[in-house]
Amino acid sequence: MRERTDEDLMIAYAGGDMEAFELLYNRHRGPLYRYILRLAGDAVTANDLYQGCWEKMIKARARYNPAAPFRAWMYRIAYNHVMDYFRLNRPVADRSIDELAAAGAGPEEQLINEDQRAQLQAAIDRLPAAQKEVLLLKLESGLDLQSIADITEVNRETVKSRLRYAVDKLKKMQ
Amino acid sequence: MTTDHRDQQAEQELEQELEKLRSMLSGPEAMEPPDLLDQAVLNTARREIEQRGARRGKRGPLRWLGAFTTAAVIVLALSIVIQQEQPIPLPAANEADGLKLDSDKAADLVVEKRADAFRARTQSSPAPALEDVMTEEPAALKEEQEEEALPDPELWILRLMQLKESGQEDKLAEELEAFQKAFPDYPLPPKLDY
Repeated sequence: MRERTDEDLMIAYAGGDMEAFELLYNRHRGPLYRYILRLAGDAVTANDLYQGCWEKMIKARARYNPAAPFRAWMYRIAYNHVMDYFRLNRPVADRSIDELAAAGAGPEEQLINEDQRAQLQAAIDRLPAAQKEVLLLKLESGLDLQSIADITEVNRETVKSRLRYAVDKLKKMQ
Repeated sequence: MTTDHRDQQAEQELEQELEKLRSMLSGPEAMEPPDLLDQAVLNTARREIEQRGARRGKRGPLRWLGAFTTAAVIVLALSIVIQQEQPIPLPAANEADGLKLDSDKAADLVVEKRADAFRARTQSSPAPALEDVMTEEPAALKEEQEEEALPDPELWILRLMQLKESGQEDKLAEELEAFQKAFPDYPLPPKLDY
């Protein structure tokens, strides 16, 4: 049997199908959480923001238009939610390396790649906010450039340019 | 090498770089939401669906009523507005003759309709046979005709008094006889009572 698309599942949930929501949730929980966690920098804030994002999606289910890809819709809500939070609180680029290193820390984080990952994460944290936003969206959501441009409300070339600058800086920082 | 081709190549290189970063960042399973958070989100989703179901159930079969009422009010309002906005067309000068013609036609139509109605009435209630009409003379009609022919006794008496005063004795005697024949029991004034 053909796997149900995200769009089908979201429409089914809007019609009252809870199993559809569970399937959808399990597909996206990891990438969305990591995106928010890397953007927020600490687990407590990330948890709140993550829960808030899903609540917004749940509330907006009736307005979901299946003509738009679900993933782009979801990340647009997440992006706006996180940006709203940081507009009211502190800017994204203000995170310290320690905070980032602490984010999501667990026993498995003590693996061989931990140093490498921590360094990278710290380097990402030092990027200008606009570059960090598009980079994390690209890394976690896997959306194409145009979708990211739509979410962040800039044009496609700007997204590409920001990604290019971010990648170059990360290479130099490491 | 065209510009488009160069752009495509640059994008591919960028994608490769990003893929490297992604693999470096992809870490252990701990980078996933805690179970409690999962549970909280799923509970919210379930509660929303249940609440919506409850709201629907509460509204029940009358939920169409609101929409129906709104539509009815809109239709009513529109019809009132349309009726008020339609001006009564005034005839142009060159249409006056046409209107007169129309009113003549209408009058003719009314006459024709009345005639039709009369014909229908007479056809639906069959006329009495010709013999019956010829032989029968309703008694009531006869009496009516007689009554209609008789003058008012008081006026008649007044006329009799005038005849007496004017000394027309012959005429008075004749009229008095006729009066007594017509109203045998009617009391006469002493002046006329012979």
